[in-house]
Amino acid sequence: MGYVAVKGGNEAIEKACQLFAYDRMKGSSHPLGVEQIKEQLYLAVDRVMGEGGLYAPDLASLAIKQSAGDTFEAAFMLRAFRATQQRLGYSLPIDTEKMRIVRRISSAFKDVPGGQILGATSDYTLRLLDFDLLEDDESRRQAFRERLFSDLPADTEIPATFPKVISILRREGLLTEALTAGQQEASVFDITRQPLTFPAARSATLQALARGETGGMLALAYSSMRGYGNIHPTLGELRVGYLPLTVRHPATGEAYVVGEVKVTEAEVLAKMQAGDGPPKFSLGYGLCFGQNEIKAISMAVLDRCTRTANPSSPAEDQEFVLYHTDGIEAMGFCNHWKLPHYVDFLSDLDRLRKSQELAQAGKDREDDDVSA
Amino acid sequence: MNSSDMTVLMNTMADEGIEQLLTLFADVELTVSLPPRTGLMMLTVQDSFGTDFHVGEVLVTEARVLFHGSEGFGMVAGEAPRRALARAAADAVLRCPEATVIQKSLLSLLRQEEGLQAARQAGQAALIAATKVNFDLMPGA
Repeated sequence: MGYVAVKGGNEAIEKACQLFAYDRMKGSSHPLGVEQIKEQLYLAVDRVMGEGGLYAPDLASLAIKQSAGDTFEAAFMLRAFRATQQRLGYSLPIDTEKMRIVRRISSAFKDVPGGQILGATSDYTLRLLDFDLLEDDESRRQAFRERLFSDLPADTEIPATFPKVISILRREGLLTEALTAGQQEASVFDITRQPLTFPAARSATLQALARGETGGMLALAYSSMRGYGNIHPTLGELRVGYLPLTVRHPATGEAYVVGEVKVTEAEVLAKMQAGDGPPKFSLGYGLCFGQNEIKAISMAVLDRCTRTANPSSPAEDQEFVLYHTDGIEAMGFCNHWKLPHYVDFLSDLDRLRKSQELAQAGKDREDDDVSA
Repeated sequence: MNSSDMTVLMNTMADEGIEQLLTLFADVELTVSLPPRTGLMMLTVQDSFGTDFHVGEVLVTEARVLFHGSEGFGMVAGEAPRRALARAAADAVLRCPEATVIQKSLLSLLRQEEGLQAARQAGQAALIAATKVNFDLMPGA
């Protein structure tokens, strides 16, 4: 069979796009408002912003609506949108101790300065379906709010900022501070402007992981946690809170707060490092947009894994980790298999048939030799 | 918080508040030197080793206005052209030593917002503080 160039399908594609939109609206339920998604499905919004690399809650909510809840597609839309926007600049680097905390826990120490603040979490729920939510309406919500606020202790206060848990270890000299020579860097790498090369600078690694796909990062971090690697992490601190986006005022040069960005930060303490001096803990660091604790913890584990001197597992191989955790690239490559590969496959088919013919011809010759 | 920093309060002000604030500038001679435009600001954070890195971009809206020869700067999160314009106007007016009358009205609105914001944050803080863990030692410990 010869090579046949084909084109067409435009009308079918257009109708398929329309059918996708129709499937979302063919039911009798009320249209889903973007505000509803932003307020009530906020963890999905956070995830999409993190993986899209763009903090824009309204647009992320719209993307979730448009993609019918597919977080990969929604993150892709944000990534595409950002390509249409002008970069206005870089914020002033912010020290995360300035975070306005809404949740903060440590698995390393029971008593931490400022206390363990559970905040809003589903960690302690029983994962049993709450059938009361089937009857969700404003009167029930009002009653719930009234109960919640009436139960509050009168003297509750939390500090504006919290000291870092790892400062306890730092004070006692129990934490490895120095980065290796290869990880020190003069300027901050920007993977949206510069191609990623290996070994990647620390700032490039953290930026790539910060916009990585949660599931992919979890899978690799989990492989390390289960023993494909040698890190053995303990969660030193997990924080969820708001960081100020601060720029320099163009006229006065003073710090100017543009707004607040919700982030999750994780610090894992990993197994002791035996170097020249006394043994010390080493640290893995994770920080991402929104409340996405699995991603921040996975990022911290992978940060530490990829700094292993002699990588022995995929999760410790920096190139492997960074190349396989970008959700947009991974889903794009996976999805491209749905596109026509008629010519490639025809070539495979031709070669397979030819091989079978040759094999058969060889077998026939052997049979002839035996019978002769 | 000094008066020129008070424009930060406009970030969380309700849309109605922004519109009310904009009416203050109805009779003021302001020139829009940069009409509101959306763009991206890269959020840079310092990790626990002191290494700066870029977390990701934030969608912002920027606007600038001229008032008595000085430029007011307004940048807010999200796509919010009216808010960015209002913040730029407020920035210009609050930094201008001659605009005392409008400054007074503006600061009054901002102080009102400051009170509302403090009440909102206190409510939120109380909910969060109620989730602080108090460990009890187990018998025999």
